[in-house]
Amino acid sequence: MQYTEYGLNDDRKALCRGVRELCARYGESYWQEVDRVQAYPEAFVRALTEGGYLAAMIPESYGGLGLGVTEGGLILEEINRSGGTAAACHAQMYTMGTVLRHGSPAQKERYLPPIAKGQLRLQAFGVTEPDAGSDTTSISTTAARRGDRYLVNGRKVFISRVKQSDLMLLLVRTTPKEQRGKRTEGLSVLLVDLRQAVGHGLEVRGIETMMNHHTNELTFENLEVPAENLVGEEGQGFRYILSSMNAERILIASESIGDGRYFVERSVAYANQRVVFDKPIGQNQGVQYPIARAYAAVEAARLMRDRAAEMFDQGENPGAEANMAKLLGADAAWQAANACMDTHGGYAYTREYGIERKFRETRLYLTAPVTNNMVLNYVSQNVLGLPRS
Amino acid sequence: MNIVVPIKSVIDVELNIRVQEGKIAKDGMSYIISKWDENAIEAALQLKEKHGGEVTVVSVGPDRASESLRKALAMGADKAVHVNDPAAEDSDSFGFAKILAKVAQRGPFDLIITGKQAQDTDMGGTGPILAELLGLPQVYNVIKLESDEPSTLKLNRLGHQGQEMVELKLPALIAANDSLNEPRLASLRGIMAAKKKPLDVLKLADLGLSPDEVGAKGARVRTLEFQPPKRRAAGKKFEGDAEEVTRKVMDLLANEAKIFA
Repeated sequence: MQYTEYGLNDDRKALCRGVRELCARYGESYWQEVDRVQAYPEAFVRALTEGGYLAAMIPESYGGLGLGVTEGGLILEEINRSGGTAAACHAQMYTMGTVLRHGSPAQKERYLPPIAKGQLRLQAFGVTEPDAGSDTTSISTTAARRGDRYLVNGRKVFISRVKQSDLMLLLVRTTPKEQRGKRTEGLSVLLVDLRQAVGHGLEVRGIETMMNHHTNELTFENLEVPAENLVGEEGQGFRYILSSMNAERILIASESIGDGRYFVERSVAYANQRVVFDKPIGQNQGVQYPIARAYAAVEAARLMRDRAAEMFDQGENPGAEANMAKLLGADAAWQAANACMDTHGGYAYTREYGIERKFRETRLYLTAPVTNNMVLNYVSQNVLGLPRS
Repeated sequence: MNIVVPIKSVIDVELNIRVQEGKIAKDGMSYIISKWDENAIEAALQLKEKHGGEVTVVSVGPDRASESLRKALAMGADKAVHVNDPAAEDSDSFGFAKILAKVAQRGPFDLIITGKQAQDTDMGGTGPILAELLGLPQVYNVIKLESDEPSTLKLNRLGHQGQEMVELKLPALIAANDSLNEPRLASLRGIMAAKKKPLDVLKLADLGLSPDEVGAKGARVRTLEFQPPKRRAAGKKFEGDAEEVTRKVMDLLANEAKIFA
């Protein structure tokens, strides 16, 4: 199957090719091995960092490439399409956005250039808590101001890549729930230097998952964070989180789309080549149709992603489009994953083929970073004006 | 050190190449830089990094060749020349060499680096003819390259029986083997910078060449047709006692396949 690149200008084609050529050096056996031993894909992430790809969205004035979410999305899409796992490092691309948009000039000067160079990793964002999953405004991890510092206490769960980060953004409660004005107030974002915090008030415990994903449970016990590490204004943290969501949705949708294209391409190749009952299995419509249907779904999700990304880069608010792209992308990838499993028959379950690895990995996008039901809530209530559930 | 690197844009051999009516089907195929040419680019960039100067990449081909040139620019080449003329299509090695010679003569150069052959036709003719046309010494199939001073290269070339160590005074032409180096990946910054680097598009007339000298008309070698490789016949499977099977396989290898003859 040939690569279709319609709708891409020459610059973006060149970008995609650059990523594809890099990914070609980290093939199926590489990803299978890191999956088998549950290792962080350090060599791949280093190559991607050295290639400047993770600095794509950092402005040129801070040493990045100054590209948009469109290009960021294409990079992540190509990684997943190649069989790789962008989830290992996607957050390095966009977590800095909160510092960029809401940080002080001093914070930006201090952190963004080394992040752009790849000398500092900021790819962890502590939001979710054991008792506050999707209900972000109910978090209970607190930061109490004591002189020139905050004392942080509480717990977080499913915080990814903490062990592979130097810095972490952390959503904390700075005003007790009873005293806050609006439901969305009283939360703040702190920049935590993990190199100093771990073992000094912050304990990190890895969580084993069904795929090679480096996520953790965090316990804060009187962790001291300098007050100057507050990002933006105290009490406005939830607003900052919301403002970063559209970009994140678009980028995650891009990974799903990349997965979807991987599954479709693998399915087509196998259906053409595998001969059973003296003919290629792809000649059977029972095999063809699920692949064709998945392909249509993936391409439709891609159009929605493209529209969301275009709006974002033009400074418009693509809340609806970004959310729908995430929903459609995750669903399409899952549909394509199942078609690919069915196409490969028993071989789909063997480690050797790599399909089962991708199958496990792409399942996550239905749930994280936001569940598809929460997206449907958003579309129902914020886009269609249905009553709040 | 000014270096010229001729590159060829070839069909990605990883793809399923189809033959239709004796010709390679070109629709929907993607094109890449012929792999040995990537080694040539890498060698040129390393020499430039050591001694300074400029690397110019040249390609003869239709519109799509510009993508390969942009990629070479993204890797770090300084400028590109694209000879894009329908009359140049279907040139043989001699025709391509004539065009490349004219391009090389447009400016002063110290070194030309080619791949040892093109990945599509595997001819390996253009480089040697180019060296002859320009009166340059040439060293082929280079697997190791050192250069302490810009006027001289120390090279190892691979032959059938071993290696030959050569000292080469410039100007000259060398051809890269793929074990010479590991071609670098273009960085995102390089890709972004590539679109701002000069890419000259030339016609044959700009080089003082007439359409009769090159292309199908000027070709001394004519390609009659392409044929897809024959499908390999199914192999044989042996089962049973290891000693017995080994004896049987050895017998067949010796007497039927005659591989020890």
